[in-house]
Amino acid sequence: MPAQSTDAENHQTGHPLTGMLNMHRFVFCPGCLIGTVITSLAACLKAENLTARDYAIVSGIGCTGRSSGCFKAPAFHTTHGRAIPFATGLKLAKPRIKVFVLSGDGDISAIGGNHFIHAARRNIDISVICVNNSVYGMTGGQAAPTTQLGDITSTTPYGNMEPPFNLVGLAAASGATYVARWPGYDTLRLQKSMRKALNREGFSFIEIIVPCFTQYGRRNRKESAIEMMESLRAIVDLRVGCPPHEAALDLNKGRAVCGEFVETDRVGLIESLQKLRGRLKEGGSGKQ
Amino acid sequence: MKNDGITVEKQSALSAPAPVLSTGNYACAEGALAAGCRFFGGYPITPSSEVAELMSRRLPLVDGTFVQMEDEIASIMACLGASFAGVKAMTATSGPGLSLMAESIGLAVMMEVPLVIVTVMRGGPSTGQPTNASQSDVYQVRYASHGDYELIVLAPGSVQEMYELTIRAFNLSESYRTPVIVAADGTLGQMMEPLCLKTAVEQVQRKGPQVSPQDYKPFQVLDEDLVPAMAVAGTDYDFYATGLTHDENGNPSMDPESAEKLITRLCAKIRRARIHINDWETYCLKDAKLVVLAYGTNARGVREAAEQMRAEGHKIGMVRLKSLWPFPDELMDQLGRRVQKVVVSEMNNGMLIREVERFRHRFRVAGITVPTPVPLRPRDIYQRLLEEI
Amino acid sequence: MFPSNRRPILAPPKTKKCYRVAVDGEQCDGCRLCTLFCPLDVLEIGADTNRRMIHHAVVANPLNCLGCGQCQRICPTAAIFVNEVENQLEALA
Repeated sequence: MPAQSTDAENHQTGHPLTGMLNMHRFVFCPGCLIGTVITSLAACLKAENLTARDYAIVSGIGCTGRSSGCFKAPAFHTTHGRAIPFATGLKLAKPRIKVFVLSGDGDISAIGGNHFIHAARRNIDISVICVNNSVYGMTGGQAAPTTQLGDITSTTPYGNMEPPFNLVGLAAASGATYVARWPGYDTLRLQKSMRKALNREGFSFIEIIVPCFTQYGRRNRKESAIEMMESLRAIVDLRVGCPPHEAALDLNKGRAVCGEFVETDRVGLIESLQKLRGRLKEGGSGKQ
Repeated sequence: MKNDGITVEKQSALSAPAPVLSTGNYACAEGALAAGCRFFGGYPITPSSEVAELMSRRLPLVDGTFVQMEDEIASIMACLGASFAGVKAMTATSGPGLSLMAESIGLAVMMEVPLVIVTVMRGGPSTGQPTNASQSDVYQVRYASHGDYELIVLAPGSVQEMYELTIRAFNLSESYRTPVIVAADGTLGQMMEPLCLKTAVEQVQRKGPQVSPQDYKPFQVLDEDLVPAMAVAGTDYDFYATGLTHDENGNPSMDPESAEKLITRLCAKIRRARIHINDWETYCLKDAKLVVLAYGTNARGVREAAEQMRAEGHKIGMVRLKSLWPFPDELMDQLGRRVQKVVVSEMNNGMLIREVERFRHRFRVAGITVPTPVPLRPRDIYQRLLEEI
Repeated sequence: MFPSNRRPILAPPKTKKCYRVAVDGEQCDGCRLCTLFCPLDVLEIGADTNRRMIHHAVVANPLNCLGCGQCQRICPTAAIFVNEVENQLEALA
């Protein structure tokens, strides 16, 4: 059946991001804001005039894990939870390039939790964008460390008994120097935050709330993806200067504190390494 | 077409006119530096920690990067990332650490990443005997990860070989875009012997893309060696490296044909090159009726026993393997034509002997296999060989 | 010549900027986010389907477009983009 004539021809070359994205690799459910996160990041990279030689995207496993392939850049689809150490090695070996980690909440805080807190502790100069849909979507809707108390998932059929992580608090406590949380639809603030992360040095962590209807909403008696987004919109509480440990995210109780929570400067690992090399070249013992 | 400064070059290692006294672990680190390794991501584990310690002192002096990661998984993943940035990378561990690295080895194979992993085998299973040796990881080094894949594993037998085979490991990993494991044992890692550092070391660099970024397909094979050209991050090339089965464009593809094609190529890449990869040292094979097969530090005791038996007139020969995998079937063919019995001596409960037993239609097979954490004594080997001959 | 102290009663007419919204029907997967986020009903889900049998978004009221860019930013498949054009004729193109 022929499609209505739209600007298909013009569009192939017309959309400003076609040069940055592999359009055929968008495999997400219709309406899933992971796609929006990807196009937002691509828009930021384009706005900063960055090309394939300036950055790399690393992802783990899961729905968000498929996002790295959507970028026309050095893109790495690594193993579950291990995107952050891969990104660390990449950045240490070639500090010139900007390294982004695009992973889901399970990838980052469950299996990847150890790598997450250590990367923050080291203040390694990478930007971690965590898409939080409170569930393991790709594998069929199992519980995640961010699943809300009482929620039904495929591995918590009687209701989840474990309270969720506050990823913002976790990142801040581990030493991240830029921590923010945004709802996935707030593209203007999201893009501004992403541009801030990519232009600064140090470990940046941006948590993005992205509702998953297919695996999470259906089981918890939500009406539709649209309804999930509307209810998220109703409870988002944008704050300035909220302490990270008070950044509650409880979708059932109706609290989603968003905004920027940490923005500080701390000497990062790359900087320390470069200073060490400088000291050794001058013929010193290397000790500070 | 140059690819961001990666070209074939000769590197002069630290010149040392006289041999230095070195431990096996230090020799391994020296070899890595001579081969051009400029990234080490590691985690301490007895008996390999000294490799990391020397690298931590030396890498910042040559503009390299040393980082102690939070665990072995992070270590090997960091090395994978560094390799994709165009920097030769290495990690060092032992049996328990290699178990943790298993999944990542599979990722390195799928993404076709040059990488060197040194494992200094110790008593196992589990925590075992950290300060002793063993050769009981023979199958682990080959089959740690899941799935169908081939792997190159080298087996040094002296401190000098720790140096030389580490260099060889880097060159093989760059030639074939594959992880390579150097399997030493705790005794070799800790003992001290004279080491002759080389003044000129041949460094192999990975194949860079010969086409423009628009035409580049990350896993397209244009040469007979089945190795695709490798673009790295930080150049104008964009590419997708995934652990999923993929086609030559890097697109994940879940159909059966793609899996067959990719896995066949990944295995053939190594199998076809086995005569270039496999290496062994022979002793008195010419008229031998019985040949003893050994590797690592255990081979020394075997050699002494074999020499004693030769002196007494027994027609005995010996082969010391310098590479364990791909298993040298071609050596077995050669032995099958002239030898009546092959005795395998190893410090485990019988692992490599199983590979040799595949050829028991060609010769009889016996074993001096003891799950001991120290090399077998020459006189014990001698007694056993007398029974076998 | 002489200074005038007359003030105009009505503000002078401003030229309204024109925007063109383009939708790639094949790239669209019919999620309707653009119709939700557009403040002026420029987009709607059309009757026709694309190759994947999906009812995709179409530009229903192109002249309403204010160029806010919400549709372009929210679209998860980068199927929509908006650009400024010279006149209304091009906005309808």
